[in-house]
Amino acid sequence: MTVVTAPPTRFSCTVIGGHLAGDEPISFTVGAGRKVLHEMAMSGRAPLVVGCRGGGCGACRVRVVSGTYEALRMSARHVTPDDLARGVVLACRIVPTSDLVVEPAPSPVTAG
Amino acid sequence: MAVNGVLRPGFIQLRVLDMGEALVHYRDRLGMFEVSTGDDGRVFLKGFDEFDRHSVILREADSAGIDLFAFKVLDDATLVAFTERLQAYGLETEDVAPGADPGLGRRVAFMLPSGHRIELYAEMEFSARGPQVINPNVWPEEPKGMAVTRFDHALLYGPNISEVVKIFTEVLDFKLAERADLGGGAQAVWLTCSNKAHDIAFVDIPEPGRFHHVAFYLETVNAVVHAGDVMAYYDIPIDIGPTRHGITRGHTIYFFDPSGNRNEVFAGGYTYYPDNPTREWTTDQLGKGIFYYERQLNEAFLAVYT
Repeated sequence: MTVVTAPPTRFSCTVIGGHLAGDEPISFTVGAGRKVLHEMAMSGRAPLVVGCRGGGCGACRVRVVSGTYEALRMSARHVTPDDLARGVVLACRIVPTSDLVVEPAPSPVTAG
Repeated sequence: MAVNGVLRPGFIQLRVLDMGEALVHYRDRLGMFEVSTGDDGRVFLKGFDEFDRHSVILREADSAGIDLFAFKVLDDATLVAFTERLQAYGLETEDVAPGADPGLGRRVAFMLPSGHRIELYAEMEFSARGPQVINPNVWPEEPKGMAVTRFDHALLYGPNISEVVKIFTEVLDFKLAERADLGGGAQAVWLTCSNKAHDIAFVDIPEPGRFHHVAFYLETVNAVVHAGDVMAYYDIPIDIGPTRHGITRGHTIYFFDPSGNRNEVFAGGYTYYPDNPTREWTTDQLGKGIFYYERQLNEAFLAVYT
């Protein structure tokens, strides 16, 4: 009888330079179809501010350094089409399709 | 007559990123009644305990946040009088024709130096699904979800808050119920035109026109706890709570709509009269002011806004 190994259902995500972690790289895993920020919050290791979780406030804006993902709709105030083209997204609105490395990219419109 | 001039917050218009998701949230989870959809796609809703036709308007857009906040005033003569006073103060007013929105009379709009659009109006149709008036039941229909009773207030973020306070108190006859010193010259203010601890509030930040939360009233702390159960069941992102504020004394939970607009459900808050002094909060006690039990500030609560 052949044992069939199921494909991996979790991707790894590493946040480099997240200020809440003192800029140490923090890694966690993200389940299939799950959003990066939500899984980060649940992992208990939170290098980024967990804000509105709905793509509206811009607090979790990141640049994807490596990896592929599906992007859900996000506020254009915080992520313009140019941003999207260069991999700048909101972590609460991306679903990984491979392992990811991201770094914080604070929204230019927000006071800080 | 006691309450006159500006009666209460009338309606708020919010931007949402996806109307379908927003309607599930405001109609099914909060339990607002969906009143109508305009030709331009805006959706009008109201709380079950409101007589007036609508109190929340949702507009689908590519960013979240607030479009405008409108107050209902006693009658048209009051609207005329406030218009004169606003203009005498040096504010530019804009007339919006009756019927520009369904069931709504003429409005007078002006911009606050905080970057927010405020409107005043005197006439709105009564809802067919408002509180009963003959041998009334406690609701006109059984409300669902969190069963919010009404649109209660909002907290807006923007610059020039001292000037905003002057406009509300000197022109619109509001009172300053509470103020908090946020440090660095910034303040937070809670303004009232009624017996409520606040009808509108502002926090000083450099960015104009921003939105912290819209609040909906519940009658009991039990109802707030039930709302929390609804949020947890449907995985609605919770910001803070259940907890209690030192400022206004409300028992509260803050959470986010699917577009990232922060909502509040709360019960309580003290009764305010115009002869009451202003309550003041110092920077070092802000934790107690916002989180009466926890006494610790939370970065996301202050720094996250749309």
